[in-house]
Amino acid sequence: MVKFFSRMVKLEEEVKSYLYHVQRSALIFEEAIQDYLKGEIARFEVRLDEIGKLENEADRIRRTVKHKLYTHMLIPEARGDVWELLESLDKVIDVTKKMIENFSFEKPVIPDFIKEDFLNMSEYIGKTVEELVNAATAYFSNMNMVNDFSNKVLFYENEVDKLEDTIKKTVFSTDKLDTLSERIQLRYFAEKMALISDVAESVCEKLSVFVIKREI
Amino acid sequence: MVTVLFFLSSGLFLGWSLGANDAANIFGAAVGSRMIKFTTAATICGIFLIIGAVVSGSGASHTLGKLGAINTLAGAFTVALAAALTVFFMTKATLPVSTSQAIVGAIIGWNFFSGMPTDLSIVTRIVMTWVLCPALAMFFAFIIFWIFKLYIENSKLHLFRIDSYTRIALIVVGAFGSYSLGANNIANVMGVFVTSSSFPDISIGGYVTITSTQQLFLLGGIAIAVGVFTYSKRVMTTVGSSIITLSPITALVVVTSSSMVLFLFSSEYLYNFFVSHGIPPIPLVPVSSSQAVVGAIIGIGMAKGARNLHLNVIGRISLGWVFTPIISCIISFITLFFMQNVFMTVVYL
Repeated sequence: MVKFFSRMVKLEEEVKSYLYHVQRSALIFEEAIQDYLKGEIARFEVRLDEIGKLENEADRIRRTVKHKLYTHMLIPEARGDVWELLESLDKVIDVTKKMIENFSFEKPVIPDFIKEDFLNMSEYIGKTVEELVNAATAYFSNMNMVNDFSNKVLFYENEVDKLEDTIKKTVFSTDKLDTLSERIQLRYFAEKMALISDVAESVCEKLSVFVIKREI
Repeated sequence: MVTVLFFLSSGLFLGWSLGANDAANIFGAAVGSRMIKFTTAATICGIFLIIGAVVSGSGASHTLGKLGAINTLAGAFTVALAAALTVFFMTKATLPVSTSQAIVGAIIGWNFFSGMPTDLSIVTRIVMTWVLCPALAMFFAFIIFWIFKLYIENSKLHLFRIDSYTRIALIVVGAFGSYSLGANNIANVMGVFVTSSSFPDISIGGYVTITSTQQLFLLGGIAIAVGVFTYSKRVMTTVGSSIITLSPITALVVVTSSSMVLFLFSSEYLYNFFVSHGIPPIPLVPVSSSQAVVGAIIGIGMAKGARNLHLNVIGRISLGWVFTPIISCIISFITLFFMQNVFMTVVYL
């Protein structure tokens, strides 16, 4: 019995640690975008390296949790949902990492007149993921709060969408950009950044279903 | 000894079928939802069923004795056989049936056959408990469900901890439920043999004496436990995963409330406590654990705000209350007639 409890406590810590990694990925993303926009490329590359390591570690924890859930027959009723939640959250880390890599590979030139929008967008993405992690944490220990955090996720996701639209409108209406390729590239980056909050929103939708399933 | 065992065989068969079917009411959801392994459930269930039967089984069987004190072993054999046949035929015909109700009908059949009077006040008391049993289980489940719900929502316990606590609670409550099932339902299995069989008392080191009735109940308890080990796995898996989909926590509510009901109807201590305090006591009568479970599930449905109560379920249970004893009484009468006139055995004195 003692072994069973210590196993449960360890698993609790691992899930907590996994959620911390998801949150950290968004913080690294925010910092990376700021560094990139400020032209601090060396620091930006350090962030890229950091998120690569973080993703590997998060994958390891996720696999460990899955293994334990199924081999030790834990939470038989909810383990499918827990597993799906962790898989969905993994997509947030994946998309975030890919976005930073894209900045590193393509090195898009962000004109000054939309830098502020990109910065704001990265901040709202950070907040979206932060509230998503809060919602996921609440799913495990305070289900009443899941909807409150989910509403915040939806709010910030909406703000990100607005900024995405603003950037797209600006780049295609300004005469400060010379080529179509520049405009298309900036649109692409705005869309891909917004994808992070879109993924967060879809995880929230799944969470709300999981909550209904867990209601006794 | 062989003769005694032969005559006890119908009761032992009833015990075996009780173990095979009713253990699922206690551990079905836990095993079906894979919260507890079958072997763990069966071991706990078997041990506590036997303890319950030996320690607290006399209360409910005493009431059956008042209904009809069957005074020959052959008579008791026939009455238990009639109850078993009733359960068998009604199950075949997919009609709701309870061993508790079948045995009562069979005893009344013996009263008719032997010309013994049937105490109507006892019959009324027993029938009242059949109605009271699911109603009480419903009430308990309603209350316990809300207590659990409020606790879980406000305690902010981690999902994994809730899971651990639920597993432990399912084991503890399962043990209590098995004890109560043994204490309450042993009367169905061995109650009719109490008057007619007499084993010499066994003394263990001069400290503990096992009476004839306790030995009888021990045999019955073992028969029930054998039923649990040999045949309840399939029933448990079916109950847990297909017929009623209960979450581990709602399963815990169901088992707790139905176990409490079984305990109330079998605890002599509570009975005496109520009497000594001038409170109307709950009669000690064997009741149906399946009907208690159905009552508890309805209680949970009500607590969840279900507006459409499945009246057909309640209707089917009520049909069982009426038909089971009548059919059992008729079968008992006929089999007693055959035993007396074809096999030339003395079925009453």
